[in-house]
Amino acid sequence: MAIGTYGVIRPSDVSPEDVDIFYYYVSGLTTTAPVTLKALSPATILTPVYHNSQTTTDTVAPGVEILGGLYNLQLQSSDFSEFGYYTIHIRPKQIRTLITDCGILASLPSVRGLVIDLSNISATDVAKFTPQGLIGYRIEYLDTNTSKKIPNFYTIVTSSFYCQPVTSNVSSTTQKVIRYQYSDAPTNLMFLTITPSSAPSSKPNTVPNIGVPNQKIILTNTFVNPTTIEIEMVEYDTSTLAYALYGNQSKAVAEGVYTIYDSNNNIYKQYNLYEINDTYGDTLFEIRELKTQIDQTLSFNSITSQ
Amino acid sequence: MDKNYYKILHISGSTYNIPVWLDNTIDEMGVMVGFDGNVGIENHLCDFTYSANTGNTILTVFNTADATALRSITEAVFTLNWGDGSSSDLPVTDSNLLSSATHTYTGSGIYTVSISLNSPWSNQVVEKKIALPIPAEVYNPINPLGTFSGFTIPYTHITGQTQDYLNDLNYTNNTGYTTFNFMAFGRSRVNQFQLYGGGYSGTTTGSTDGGTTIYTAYTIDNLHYFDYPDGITQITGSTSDFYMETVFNDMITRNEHFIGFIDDPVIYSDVFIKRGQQSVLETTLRLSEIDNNGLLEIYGNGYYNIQKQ
Repeated sequence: MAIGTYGVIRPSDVSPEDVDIFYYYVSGLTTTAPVTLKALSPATILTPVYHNSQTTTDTVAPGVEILGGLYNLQLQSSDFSEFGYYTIHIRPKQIRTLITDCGILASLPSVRGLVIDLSNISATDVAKFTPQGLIGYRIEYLDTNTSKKIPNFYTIVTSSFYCQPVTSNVSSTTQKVIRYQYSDAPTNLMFLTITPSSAPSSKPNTVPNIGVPNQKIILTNTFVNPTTIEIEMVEYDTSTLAYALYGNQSKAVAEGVYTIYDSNNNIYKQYNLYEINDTYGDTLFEIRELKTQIDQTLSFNSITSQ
Repeated sequence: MDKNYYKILHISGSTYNIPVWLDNTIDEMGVMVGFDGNVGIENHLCDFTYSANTGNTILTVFNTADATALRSITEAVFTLNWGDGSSSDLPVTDSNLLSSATHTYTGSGIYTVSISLNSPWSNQVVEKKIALPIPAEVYNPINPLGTFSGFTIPYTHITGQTQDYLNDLNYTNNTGYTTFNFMAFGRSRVNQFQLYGGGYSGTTTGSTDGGTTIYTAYTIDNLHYFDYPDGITQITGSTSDFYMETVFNDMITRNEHFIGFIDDPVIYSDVFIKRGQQSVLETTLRLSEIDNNGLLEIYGNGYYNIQKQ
């Protein structure tokens, strides 16, 4: 027996179409406002990073092959317009449907599985229901009475094939039952074998629950681990604060305008400077007030070139 | 590599690009097979049939594997060995039609044709010996009595030989003789001539007992049939490849029960009381059907000493 180690985490190369992205906003970490989730379009904002000539010596992979793990998330400022905290949740896409039947194969009666009617699948997701295309998908179940998701209970799809119903004789009686046989040609039904589906050898009469007909289920791919990203939208960062500390500045004495420039000598902030005097002409306050109408004639270059 | 917190300077009308790391935890799901080990009925996975035209050495083999069951078995490979050093593949088809392969042999002979199933879970081989060319079906009416001369009943001697097979039970004197003529009684096959349409062109008639008993004679499969008007058909023919066959006959007995040594009160329903029937209307009862003293007294025929209280 070989003794060694192996890693269980791989860089994901999931397609953006196979993930869901939600986010919600809170103004501060002390807020008690309820969380309101909003959805983003993964196909629009999530982009995988591809190989280039620096990352591989392969001549075909650059621009074609996903590097793996690294993605770029493009967020529009219009969606994140408030100062505060945004929590972005990325998770595998969920497909909701219901169990058409819990059947067995006619030729292999010991194989139990779920039968899914593809007409119940949305047009955007039905393309995923291909032979062996659902291997590894997780199935979670909704309670038939309360419609709540049954916590801590799931099964894993081990195979998926097109199938068609057939009538079979039952050996012990004269009754006929509906069983299923695989079909290479596409049909409207798909037979999913799942695990666990067989009874333990120590208690062969205890067959695991794999669901019941008409029970709602949630199919989720396992291509990527769910992750959460926290974004703090701020008015200032260290760079803008540095403008105030170390940036170029000017003071138009006559107009009383105080201007702060960024690292490119663009006007970053502009203030009006004035005093408030009492009726005797004594100065009570010296005011620096943010100027909303920027006076572009006070650009750093035009001032210093005079 | 996880980075889950970003501080972004808010700039209206901008697009923020955030690097995201997505990973995937893998797990070994094991080898997936079409069944979990509890197969109730073994599928007919490996067998074949064959056909050939009479007289030639072109053989066609049909794969009779259960295509329905094999739809889930995509790795199954069927190889056909023609028995003369050549082989062919017999693919599994999805249709109801059997896949087939045809092979032409260079000469006649007995060939061992085999089909082998190679799959990850089972390797099976089925062999059949096939003699080529396949002879024509023997069904050729010929002139009855033309090749077979009648013999005297009872027939006890081998034609052309001197041994008496009825008395020489051990066949010790028959060593070396492989052909015996025989006669038997069986069923008429004269109706088979109707398959050829028209009348019984292959039949003839004759008479025995001085012309009083007229029979219809014909020959099928080298057997000579004599249909008599009383429904009896006499069949004569010749055997080939004679071998002595030893038959053991066992005596057929009834179950014997010894009255008097019964430890437990057991009623045997197959014990009959032997007595003479006094009337044809009188039924013969089993011991278990005797349910009163009157019947017991009658059927005991004085054997039982019945004390009436």
